[in-house]
Amino acid sequence: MTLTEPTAAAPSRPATQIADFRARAEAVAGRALPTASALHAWSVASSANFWGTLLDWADLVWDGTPDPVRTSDDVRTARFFPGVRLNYAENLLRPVAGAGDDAPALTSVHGDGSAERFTRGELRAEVVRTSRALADLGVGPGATVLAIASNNATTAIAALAVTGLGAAWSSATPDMGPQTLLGRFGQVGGSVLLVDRTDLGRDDGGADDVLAELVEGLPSVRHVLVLDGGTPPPLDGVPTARLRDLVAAVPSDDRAPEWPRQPFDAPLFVMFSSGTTGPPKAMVHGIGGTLLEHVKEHRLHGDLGPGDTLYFHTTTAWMMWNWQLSALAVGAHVVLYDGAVTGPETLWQLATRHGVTVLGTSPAYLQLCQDAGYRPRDAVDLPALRAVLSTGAVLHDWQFRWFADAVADVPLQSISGGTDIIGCFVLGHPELPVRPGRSQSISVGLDVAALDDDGRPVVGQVGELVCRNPFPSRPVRFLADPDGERFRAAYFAGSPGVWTHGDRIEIDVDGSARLHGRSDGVLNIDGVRIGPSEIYTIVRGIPGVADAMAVETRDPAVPGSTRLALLLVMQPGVVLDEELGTRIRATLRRDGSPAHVPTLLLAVDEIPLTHNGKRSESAARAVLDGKPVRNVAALKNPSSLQGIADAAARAAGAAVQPVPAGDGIPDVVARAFAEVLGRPVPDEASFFDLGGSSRQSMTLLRRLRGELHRPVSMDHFVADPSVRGLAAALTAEEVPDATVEVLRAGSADVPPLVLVHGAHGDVDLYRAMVSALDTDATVYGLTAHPGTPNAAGTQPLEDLVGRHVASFTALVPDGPVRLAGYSFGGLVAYEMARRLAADGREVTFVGLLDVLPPARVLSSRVLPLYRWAGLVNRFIPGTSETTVREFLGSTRLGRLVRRAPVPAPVPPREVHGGLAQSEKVFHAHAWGPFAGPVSYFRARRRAPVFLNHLYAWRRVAPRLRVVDVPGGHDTLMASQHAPELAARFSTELRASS
Amino acid sequence: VNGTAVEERTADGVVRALRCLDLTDPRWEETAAAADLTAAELSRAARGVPEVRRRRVLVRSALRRILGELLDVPSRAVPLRLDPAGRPHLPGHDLHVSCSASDGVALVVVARRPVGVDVQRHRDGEAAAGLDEDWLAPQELHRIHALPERSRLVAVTRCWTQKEAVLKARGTGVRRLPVDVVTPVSASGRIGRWWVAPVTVPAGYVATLASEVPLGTLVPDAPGVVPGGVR
Repeated sequence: MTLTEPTAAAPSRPATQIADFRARAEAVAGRALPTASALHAWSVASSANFWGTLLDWADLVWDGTPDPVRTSDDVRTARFFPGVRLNYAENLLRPVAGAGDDAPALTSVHGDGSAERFTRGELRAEVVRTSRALADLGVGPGATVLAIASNNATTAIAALAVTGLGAAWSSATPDMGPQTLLGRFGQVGGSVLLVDRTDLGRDDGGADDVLAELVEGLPSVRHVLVLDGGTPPPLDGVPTARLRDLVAAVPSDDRAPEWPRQPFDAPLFVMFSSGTTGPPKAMVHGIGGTLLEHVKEHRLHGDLGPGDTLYFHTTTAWMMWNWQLSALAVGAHVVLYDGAVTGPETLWQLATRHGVTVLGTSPAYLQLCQDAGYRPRDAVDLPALRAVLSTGAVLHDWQFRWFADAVADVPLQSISGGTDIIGCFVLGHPELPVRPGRSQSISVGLDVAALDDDGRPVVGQVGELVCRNPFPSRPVRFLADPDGERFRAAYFAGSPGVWTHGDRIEIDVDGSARLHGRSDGVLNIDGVRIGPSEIYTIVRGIPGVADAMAVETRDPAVPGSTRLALLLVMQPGVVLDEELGTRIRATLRRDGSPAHVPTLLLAVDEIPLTHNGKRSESAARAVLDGKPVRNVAALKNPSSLQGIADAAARAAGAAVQPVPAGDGIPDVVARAFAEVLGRPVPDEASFFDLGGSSRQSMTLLRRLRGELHRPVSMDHFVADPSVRGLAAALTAEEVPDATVEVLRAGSADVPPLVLVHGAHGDVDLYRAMVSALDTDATVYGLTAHPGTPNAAGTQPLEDLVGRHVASFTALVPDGPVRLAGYSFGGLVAYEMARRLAADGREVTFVGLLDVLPPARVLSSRVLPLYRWAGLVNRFIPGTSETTVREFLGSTRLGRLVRRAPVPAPVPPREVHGGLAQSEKVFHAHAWGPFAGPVSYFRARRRAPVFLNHLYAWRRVAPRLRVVDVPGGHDTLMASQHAPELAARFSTELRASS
Repeated sequence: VNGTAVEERTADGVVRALRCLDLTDPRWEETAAAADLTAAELSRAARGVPEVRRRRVLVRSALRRILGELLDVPSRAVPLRLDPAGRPHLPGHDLHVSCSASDGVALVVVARRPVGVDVQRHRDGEAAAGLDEDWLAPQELHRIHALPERSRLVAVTRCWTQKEAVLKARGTGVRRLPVDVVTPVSASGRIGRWWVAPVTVPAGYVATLASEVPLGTLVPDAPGVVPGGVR
């Protein structure tokens, strides 16, 4: 394994800024701090001295006294530099040694390749004029300005003007839906709303309607300023204007408004993050803490300074936007980009065109490049590039190796932190080698450690990430948290006195680190997140159960998958028999969800506990996974492990099926009744007489559809809603078997259009589009209803394709044919086209409605990455209807955004229940080339970076035409998009005939 | 006795009575309440397991007592008829009724025009499962996913109550597929010719009333039906 060599330090003068800082630190420490670890050790042992020295060395502009550095040693309550007053924008725009007014400051690149450029002098002048316009609207200390804006110069200038005036800034992206925008900004109480309508309301009825809805929902807003060039709409009771008009109206001889220097903790940014419970946190970050942390990270860890050009791929809704903006404070040139990433080449080409020296990206983008076979080293010239940063998820070992081979001989630095600290716990380091899979260094000044279950620091082992000393970039407060209780609960509930971040980390003796996911013990069963406490709460209410422990364990039946095991300690005299087991499962299903129902119920004598009485899920999991238990000595009751192993062995030997165990319709129905109702069910008793509700009947029917793989409707149920009645109704009925359905009759002279069923097996999803199509063709729908031999998900895709080709050929034996499908159906349609073409049939049109490539065609090693790529559009804020906040709260990947490694693949959100089988079939498929024309209807609302599936498609289908259509992947076929989709689809159809 | 208290509260007096029952109150006397029911009603109630029987008796008794007040007849003499699903209606009168119960809470409404009411105990797990049970239309799922995460699961339960309330107002009940009733997802709004509005119920429950006219948030009459009779 090749290590990237550290930059050789010239002996005569410090080659790096951290070496320069070291000289200052050594003078303060009174001793040599010759290595990175010695400097870090001093920075945490003499923490107050470190921050005092940093403030002095950083050469920022501030008033007042640096004493005291901090008000106490308590991590939760300590405040830094109460005597310092400063201004964020003033510091970002001040002349810096080596970056005078003529030095480049900002380059704002647009999707069409055009760019606006500002020197430091020009940028300052523009920001000052903008601040005058905003000051006239009352923006100043105490105010908060809300911005719905893209990553471009207009936004950056506005942010600098707002913060220059001493007001706080809170930004989001225009293509978030109104509900999500209101969910964020509704908490803030901003007085001025800046909005770029370019992408606003694209799928929600138009920008101005959405704007009106937003303003109505934000009663504190007194002024709305549009950032785009359009005419400001009239709004009820709120004046509107174009920001650029207000700035243009500022007289050229205007005296600059006052930019006040404010207390160190005065509000600068309002950011949003989410914990595992409760409403999302709206956190206020202060001027001094943010600026000092960013300057520290940029200069000491990034060695960023005058002459550097930084591009970090982000949106205005992510803390990395604020982080990269602060690079102006160290004299770096910042590049912004508000276009889309259209392929693996986009960011590398941006880097080469604008002389980027430090490029910030994500593991998913690098993986996209690797999967696409794109080699920046061969494709573009990157002479200026000296470092690449990656954050948002774990960067895998193989990605480091690929990077060294395919990109450049520069360090690849994996950095990780969080919105909560508007900075990083682990970063790169200019003096240290890069070890594949690891971050080079702990952030200097932060006493980051991994604690084991007993709260002891461990090295070389995974533990709870804590920071044990106060640091300035903590949130100065949360909104809606008057007594600070939410703040305390968020970080100080676990181990009093230290900041518990909620990540798991492993730190090696060399100071390098690797993150290992969230530490809140959240289970991930079939992609559904479950908090163990939810299960305990439910189970402990069941008579007979004394204690329980939920463990996510390896599923021996499905390699790579996990299942839920529930260890139960029964009360004395209570036996875990089948009846009780059924009741426990039913209660978990009713009060929890189907995902809460354990695969494995194990009665044990004891739960493994540490000496401190903490429950050790990790020990139980190791036993169930058949792995050695680390650190048995930490357990108070190690004999509990033998009990778990014995119970698991007994369970493995016994049949685990609940009663009745049969696969026949009556048994399946009886089982479903018993579990939904949570009680024994006589065959003839009415569901409703047994206490079942209409609502529960939905759960019952859905479950039966899933288990019987066939339609089960209310009609089957209501006539006689008993086990016997429903079983009889289902047994009596033939399963529908019409494979080919005529969706629309047409002319026999026109080649027919064949639409292939979706993952559910039906063609209902096409009806809205078909009714709006402008075509004379007969439109057929190919179905694969559950219970039929075709059933989607029950057979390899090539078998399904063969059956469909046979059915269709029997119906329409000759002549040209046109095929299309959405998602799963699109891949089937594509393969049918190949098969029909190989049989000599003319295929004049293949329509792919946002069809992702199957995972199989990508390398198996990267499958996990690909699988969660489906979620990744929620990772870059603003590319879907989901906000970062919701995303962080709702998905496992959300925790990766806070820079933790990915421990297991996560299926896309929309795949659950019966769809999972179709998804497996889909991804297991190996496709082949097709030389004919293919029209690809691409969802307009899509991840800008990661899902560059067109690249993969073009490799097999070179004659691919791309048509953008409204909606996202999930909503492409929704009826509100049908008219536009049908119009574009019709155009493509006409071109094919 | 304030059987008509609600009349002044609603814009056009459509809702004559709206009562919320706490079925968990130990003071209910099931035997006394059963005296209000007809033999057919008692027989239907008796088919249920004990908690179902108790619920059916108490809710039907409450409905009869409220109607008895409105019509000025003894509760047992209220000319209620049952449709095949066991739902009550009042032929020959200008009054429409709807009842709903879930766990410990029941609602009884009497109105001048067709009406449907539904109450549902909210459980996060059940609501989460509901996202994958095929009774929410794609548009509804789309709107639900657009909500902040903290509001989503309650929105699922609310959607359910809106669907049920509309199906009851239509007189079809759940025999019709609830997926056909596409709700606005928001707390109130229009579904075809029906307007849905929230009903204030105890914490942990969600309730909706559907009628042909738009109504604001509905607060059940207080005091409502309490153990011992209408007060």
